[in-house]
Formats: sequence, structure tokens, C-alpha cells
Amino acid sequence: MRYQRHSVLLGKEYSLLHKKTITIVGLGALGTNIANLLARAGINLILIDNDKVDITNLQRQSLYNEKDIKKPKVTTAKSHLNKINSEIKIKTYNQLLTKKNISIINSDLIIDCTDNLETRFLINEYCHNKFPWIHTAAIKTMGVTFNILPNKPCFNCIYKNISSIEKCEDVGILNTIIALISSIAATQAMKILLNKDYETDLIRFNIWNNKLEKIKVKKSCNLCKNKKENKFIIKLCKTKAAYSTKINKKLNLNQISKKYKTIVKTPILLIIKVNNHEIIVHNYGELIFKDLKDEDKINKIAKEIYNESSISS
Amino acid sequence: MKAVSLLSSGIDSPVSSYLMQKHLDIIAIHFNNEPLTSKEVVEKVKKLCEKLKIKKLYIIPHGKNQISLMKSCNHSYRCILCRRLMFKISEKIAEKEKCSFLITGESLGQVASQTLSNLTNCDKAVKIKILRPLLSYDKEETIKIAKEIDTYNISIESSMCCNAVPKYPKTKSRINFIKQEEENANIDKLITSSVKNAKIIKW
Repeated sequence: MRYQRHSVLLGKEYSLLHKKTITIVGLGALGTNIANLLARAGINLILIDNDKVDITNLQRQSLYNEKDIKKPKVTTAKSHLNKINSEIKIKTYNQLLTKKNISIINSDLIIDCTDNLETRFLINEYCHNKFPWIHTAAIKTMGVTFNILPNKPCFNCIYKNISSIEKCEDVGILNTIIALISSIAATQAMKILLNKDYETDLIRFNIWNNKLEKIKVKKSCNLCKNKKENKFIIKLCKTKAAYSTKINKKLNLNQISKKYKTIVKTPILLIIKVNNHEIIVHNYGELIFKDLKDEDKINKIAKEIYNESSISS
Repeated sequence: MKAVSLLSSGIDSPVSSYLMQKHLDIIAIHFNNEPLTSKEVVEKVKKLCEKLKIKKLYIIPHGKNQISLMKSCNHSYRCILCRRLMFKISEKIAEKEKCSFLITGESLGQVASQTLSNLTNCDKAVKIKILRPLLSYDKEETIKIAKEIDTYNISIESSMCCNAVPKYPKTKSRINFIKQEEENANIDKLITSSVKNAKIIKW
């Protein structure tokens, strides 16, 4: 009886959902809103967060009230959710998700409601081609959701070149976008668990001007292409004159000079030209971009050069 | 009396030039490391000359010398070889310009290559008298003067640093080994062509 409005709409198999468990990583704005919807829908939950409730959370984080300030988010959320639905099982972990404890997310579906890239890359690596998960994010008046299913394009395919993201405390977040993105993600969660035609595109919505974008994502990262990734860092030099990238391996200069137009060749460094940009290639793994200031382009070129060098070694 | 003064685009060399200007007429020499650096370095040097009211500047194409050293020399010795090469080229310019001294902005312990042992072996490269007004200055003192004479803001403008510095430059060098390496690098040829291809700017 309890779920009559849902089952009349979605059919008998709706009852399957009561045997499923969804992990919510991060119990901030998106996490609490999504947990609220899923708990009401009768789905078991695993909640992970190591934070405490703060007064600035109340503007958008729906499971907390003024009395909860300074209490751990997971236990507070659990007690609120159990008042909404005492029939579901809720497991809580008052922990930061790390490489060591990552297996606590094991469940039928994971929803990323975190606020940082590191945890997302961690989830992506762990879930890759194994567990389905949903990436969600919201900042200012914009929100994103993306379903990541085994053997389909992954988080890395979208974010591999991004090293930092904006923070709510710096640029703000409108509470209405949270409700919207949470609703989309919770709907997708039910569709994935019921194996109904879930979304394959990345969805981006700006609630300020009601602009909805659906973005096709292609398998493009090394993880999906089954290649070992060449990890490198990019930085601007002390005097801000030039960007450089650094990788922890020796480069094969012969191989690189065969592929690119080479102006200077010595045993320890090359100067090559890529798309008319001069790049100094040090054999110990550093690339100096003499005139290029566009980080996206630098990332792309560096990746190419590093890949070129590893094929031969 | 006249002197040639080595002028990079950094903080120290404009100060050392300034300090000796009270006593000597100065001609500046800049060693241009392009393509290992980019062209804004030379622009900074020109601004520094104008600020210091230096009337004549030699720009030596030094990048290809560095590249030659990379091809033939022991990498940990390249800093001292490069420095000796700059001294030898400067000595030729000094002869041409009838200058009696060579001024540098070197000070002890500034960078790994500026040790007493290395500076001594640099002295041995040339016969001209070398003046190092900043030898015992610490960086703070130098910066203070640079600010007073208005060269500091030009020096800290963004520009690429030397890309030829090896990972582990020698702090103690052996003169016999240096001479052998210079022979291998065919250094006389590098000196002649550097002097020949120097660009002169006058104000």
C-alpha cells in the first residue's frame, strides 16, 4: 500500500527496488536530497560522509535542522530517514572515503554526491567496468548528472584533463538546482535498478535560464582504452613565463624527434615544434612550453608526446 | 678606463654594473640563450641598459654554444664550461673595445655553480682582470640596491630561465678535465663565431 502511487505507475517489478541497496557518497546538498527521495521510494541505503552539520549547510541540505548543528551528518541523516521510512535498512560510515576503505561502497548502485575530484576519480577507478554509478555535481545555478555503467564511457573520459573545480563556499550554490539535479539522479537510479531505458548522455541544466544540455560522451580515456595512463603534472614556472609539464620517467628523445619537427637535437634535450609552438623536451621527463598558455592544449600535446615516448621504451 | 660587464636579465648583474659605473665606463654584454629561452629576455636586457644609461650592448648568440656543449660535454661540468666560454668571448669583446676589466654579478653560493672552486677555475680561462662587486653580498642586500636604482621591477618581469642547467652541476671542478672538455667541444671555433655574430646596440 505504502508504494501504491509508484507501483501503479511503474508496474509490479517495482517491488524489486526494496531488495536493492544504493550507496550515497557525500551527504551534503545532493546527498541528502537524493537520500530523501530514495528512502521514500523504499530503497536500502549506505551513507558515507565524515563531516558534521554546519549552519551554512541548512540553506540547501534537506535532512538537517538547527538542532543538528555539530552532529555527524551520517547518523543525523539516518535518524531523519528512519522517521520517514522505518522499513528500509540504512548503514552508515562516518568516514572519509579512501583507497583503503573504498570497498564499503559495494552495493547495487553508487551515487557520487561528493564535492571534489579526488574522491570521484577514486570511485571511478574502483567501479570501472564493475559497478554502475551516477556522477552528480552542482555549482552556482548549474548541475550535472551522468550515469556511468560498466563498459560504457567513464568519469575519466569527461574529466581527465581537469585538475581543479570551483567550490560552493567560493562561488555559491542556489538551493533550487539541488532539488532539480537530485530528482533527475534519483529517477535515473530507479531506472538503472529496474533496467529501464536509462539516460546515456551527460545532462547539464542551468536553472537560472532553464537551459538543458545533453552531451554525448565518447570512450576516450586510457582507462577505457585499456592503456596504462601516463600521469604528469602541469605547472606555471616561478616567473610565470612558461608552462611546463613533468612526468616521472625518462623520455626517448629519438622516438620523439622522429615524430615531431625537431629544431634542436642533443642527447639531453630537444626543441620541437608542435602546431607552430616551440617546446623544449628534457630527457628527464620535463616539457617546457615556450609560448603556449592554453592549459587544455598543453595537456593534450603533453599527453601525445609522453605517449609517443612510452611506446618505444 | 673602460670595462665590459656581463648583463643577464636577472637581479644581480644590473646591480654589479651600477656599482662599478661610478669608477668605469661600461659596455654591456648579454649572452642570449635563444632558442633555449624566449625573446622577452633580450627585451628586458635592453630596458635595463636604458635604465642604467649604458650606451653600448653586445648581444652574443649563446644558445647554439650551449647546444654544442650539450652534445659533447660531461653534463655536470656544463655550467662551468658555459661560464668560461662567456668569459673567453667577453675577453675578445674587451680587446676590441679596449676595455681593461670584466665585471660580473657573481656572488658566492648564489647558485650551485658559483662556488670558490668554480670561480677560481673561471678566472683561469682568461687574462683580463675580473671584478665581482657582489662577491660577498647576500641576496637581500642586492635586492635592496636593485630597488633603489629601479632595475628590480624590470628584472622580475616574467621571462624564461636557463634551460641548459644540468640536474647536478659540479660544485668542485678539476681544471685538467675542464681543458679536455673544452678541446672536445672545439671551443675556439665557438668563440670566433660568437664574436663574429654578435649584435651591437647603441644608444
